[in-house]
Amino acid sequence: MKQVLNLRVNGLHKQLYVEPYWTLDKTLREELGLMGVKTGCATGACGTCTVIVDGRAIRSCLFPALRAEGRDILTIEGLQGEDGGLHPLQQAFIDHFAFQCGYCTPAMILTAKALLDENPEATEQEIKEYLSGNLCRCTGYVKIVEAVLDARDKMKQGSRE
Amino acid sequence: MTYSIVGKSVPRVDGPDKVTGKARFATEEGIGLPGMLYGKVLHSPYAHARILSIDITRAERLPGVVKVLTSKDVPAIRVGAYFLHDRYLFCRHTVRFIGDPVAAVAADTVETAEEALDLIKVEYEELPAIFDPEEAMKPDCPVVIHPDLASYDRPTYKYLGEDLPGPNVHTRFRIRKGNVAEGFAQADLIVENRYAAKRVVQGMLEPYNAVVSVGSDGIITVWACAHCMYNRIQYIVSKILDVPRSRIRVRSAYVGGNFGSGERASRYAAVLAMKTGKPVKLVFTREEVFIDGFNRLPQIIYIRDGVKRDGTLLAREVRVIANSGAYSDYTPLILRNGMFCFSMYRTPNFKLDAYCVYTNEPTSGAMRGLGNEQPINAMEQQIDILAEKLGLDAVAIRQQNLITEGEEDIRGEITHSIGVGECLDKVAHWISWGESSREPITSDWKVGKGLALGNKYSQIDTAAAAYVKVHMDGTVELRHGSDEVGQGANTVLAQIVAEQFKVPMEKVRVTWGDTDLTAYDFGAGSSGTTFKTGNALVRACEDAKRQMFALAAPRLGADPAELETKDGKIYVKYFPEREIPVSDLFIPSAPGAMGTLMLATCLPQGGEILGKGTWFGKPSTENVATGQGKKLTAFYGYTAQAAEVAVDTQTGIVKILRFASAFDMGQPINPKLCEGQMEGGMVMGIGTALWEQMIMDKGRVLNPNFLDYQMPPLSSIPSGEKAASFIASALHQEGPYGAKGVGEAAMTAATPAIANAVYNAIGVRLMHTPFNPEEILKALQEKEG
Repeated sequence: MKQVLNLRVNGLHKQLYVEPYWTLDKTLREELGLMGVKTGCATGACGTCTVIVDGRAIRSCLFPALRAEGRDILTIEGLQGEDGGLHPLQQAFIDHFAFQCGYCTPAMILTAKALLDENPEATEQEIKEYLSGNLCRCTGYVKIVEAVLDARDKMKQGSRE
Repeated sequence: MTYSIVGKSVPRVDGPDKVTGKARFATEEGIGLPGMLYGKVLHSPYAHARILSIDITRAERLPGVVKVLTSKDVPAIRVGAYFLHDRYLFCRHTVRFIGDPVAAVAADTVETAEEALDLIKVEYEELPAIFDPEEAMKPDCPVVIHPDLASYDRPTYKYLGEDLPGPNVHTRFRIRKGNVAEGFAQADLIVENRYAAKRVVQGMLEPYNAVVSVGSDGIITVWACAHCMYNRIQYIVSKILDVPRSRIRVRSAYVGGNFGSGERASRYAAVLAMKTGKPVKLVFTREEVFIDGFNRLPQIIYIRDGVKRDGTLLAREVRVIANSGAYSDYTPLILRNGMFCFSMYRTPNFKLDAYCVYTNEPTSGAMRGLGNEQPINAMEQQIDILAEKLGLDAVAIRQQNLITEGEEDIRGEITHSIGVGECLDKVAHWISWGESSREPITSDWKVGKGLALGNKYSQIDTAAAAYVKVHMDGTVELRHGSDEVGQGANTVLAQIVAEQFKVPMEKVRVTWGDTDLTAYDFGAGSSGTTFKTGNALVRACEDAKRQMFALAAPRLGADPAELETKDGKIYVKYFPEREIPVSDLFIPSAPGAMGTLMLATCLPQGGEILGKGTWFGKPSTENVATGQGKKLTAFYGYTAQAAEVAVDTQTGIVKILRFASAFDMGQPINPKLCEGQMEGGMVMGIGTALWEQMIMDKGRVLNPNFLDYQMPPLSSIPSGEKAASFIASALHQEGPYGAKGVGEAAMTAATPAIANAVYNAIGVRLMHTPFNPEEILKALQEKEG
């Protein structure tokens, strides 16, 4: 039987009715139309379903929707820069050709955001390790690393200004 | 030659969509569609069994279930790819692999559909099964997987089904050139080895999925993660539903990777939608993609090379046994075309016999290439072995034997546009070839360098057609029927159109992914979209410009041949000040007449400025006994790859320290996109060389998920200055702006480059992929006796 779920998604309060067995990825996609959340393997292995819950990057395919009660969720649809335009990570992914098919990209960007929020000075090695739970089969990762390094520098610059 | 937009790394046109989550994939289609049902497929648990009975009554009674289908509900039509129609939609009497579809369910939720599968009762009688292709190919093999093979329909490449040596062999391909016996007789050194490549999976992150709806007009709309909208999806759905292709509209937006994996969901969604009259969405689980996809064709390769003391290759004899799995799909073509890789070296005497064999394993297919990286691994380790035995340098022996412009290759084709030698020089220089690797990290770790070459032809007997529409504001819209699988097709094709019309990228619009709006295209296969669709587009642009100039000529008082276009204006070549904007063409020729305003956005004649263009491959005939012909490929792309590795002799772990790729794709239309292909190929190549394999146990896949099947994570690959990509262009006379293609060949040399580097580090030859720690420790133990 469906149960009520109150949560904040991309800054807005939402009240939903969800089955107890629904996962967060399915709920965000099908109930809220947030299609930037992708499902790749449904076993927590590929990372394409990553969203940010209370500041932490989590696998939404393994996260029961009801566990999101009272929490603050950020999906790619809610990500933006300070001026309301693209976030520096989004711009850097464009500038560095850091995506191809784009299926893993929302999750890759959100995971990188969680990292840089946590550690604005992340080194190349730290970036590589933090993003290792997100598979990308197209790019070879090289340009993803370049993009995150570039965004890191721009975000540091931005916070100094 | 310099161009304004071709050759520039302009940003991808799909960037804003893809970084904001707005990009729609087929998985997004159908969500929220009223009345939509969810489909699921029931797969066989046996590798080989007779179906005694199927009882669907309990499944049908489950609340929420709308339809349960088995072979009784669909026509007894065997389908396949274009080569050999050997597969029913649902197994009729026999299941031939663990995963073979037996039934399908449509229900109101995915969960109900899954529950219904458990309620379908199938009684099987298990049959003896066979998994080893070398056993299966024997003439007296007691297990015969397709007893009626001789009667199956072979719509194309019929000769591949002739003169088969055993009841489970479905394809035989030969190449004959010169006389190998004479070649070996003159050789100073003969080296013979056996190589093998395991079953691996493409690993695209978007699982197979489709949504199909049938309109009241009978038009069937298929949304799918389509790789080849016309060629695979429309063709198969048309066959299994027995509906003409004109009634089937295939739609596909962005595709979440493909790498040759094709698509399996749309045919089941289509039949469920037809039988229920409701839209049906069907998404394969990751496990289903592993077991019921088309994973990379495993091959066993016996190769024998004869060389002169100075390194000249005199003779090569190759025998390939490929494991097709239970059905053929694309494997007849994969087996044939994979062997074209041997054309890279001048080989006066060449003999090849290749066989594709049914087994009771999952169905095989293509992966980033068409069966070529497996023989390339053999070819490129052989040449290192020959060099070492002769005391020659591995770079020099390759340069000495590489085929050059204008020479005839092993298949009788005159070669053109060969940049592989330059690729080799670039990676050899980058990795400081000839200098030994830096010191080992600890005494257990040994360091080594290796390099290898790779190539990939592009299929010639294909076609592409495209439209170009000029809008009133000077925007040029291109409509193509290829696929945006991530390679950047939309960007590259838009660049070609921008160059043709001399407009900025912002003035080009791309329409794709809809067979109602686009013309036939072979699809994004065979590294061919830039070359084939690009050529079709150039012709469509020329056609559109012809129409535009014919309309403009009287207004400019010039001959159409004297006109040019730039920035949305048409001008006279030698008097550029005589110009009119494109929008002027849309004003009626009798200004002031009644109704002028209503006509203001229409051309006075001709309807629209709509250019059309076709590229059609023109193959020569092929001698089926010798594989010889004058024109058998559209072009070859080439690569060289070099690796520096560290091997832990205690654990068998290999680390890639540095890696470089160089590629000859002809004119790069967008160099950054080409780099992306090389980097992606590097990582896929590292994965398939070192770790990736579907672990099979009597037909069962033991690791059908991304936890147990290890694709390379970011932490394992070189980045920054440890990874390099170079472009070495040999322009192609038939390519748009001299372009060829990039994509498939980008991973072909990685496996032998790594194998050669491991040999350099620890002195053992690894001939069976993947080179995992187990294999390495075993080889080290054997070496130490």
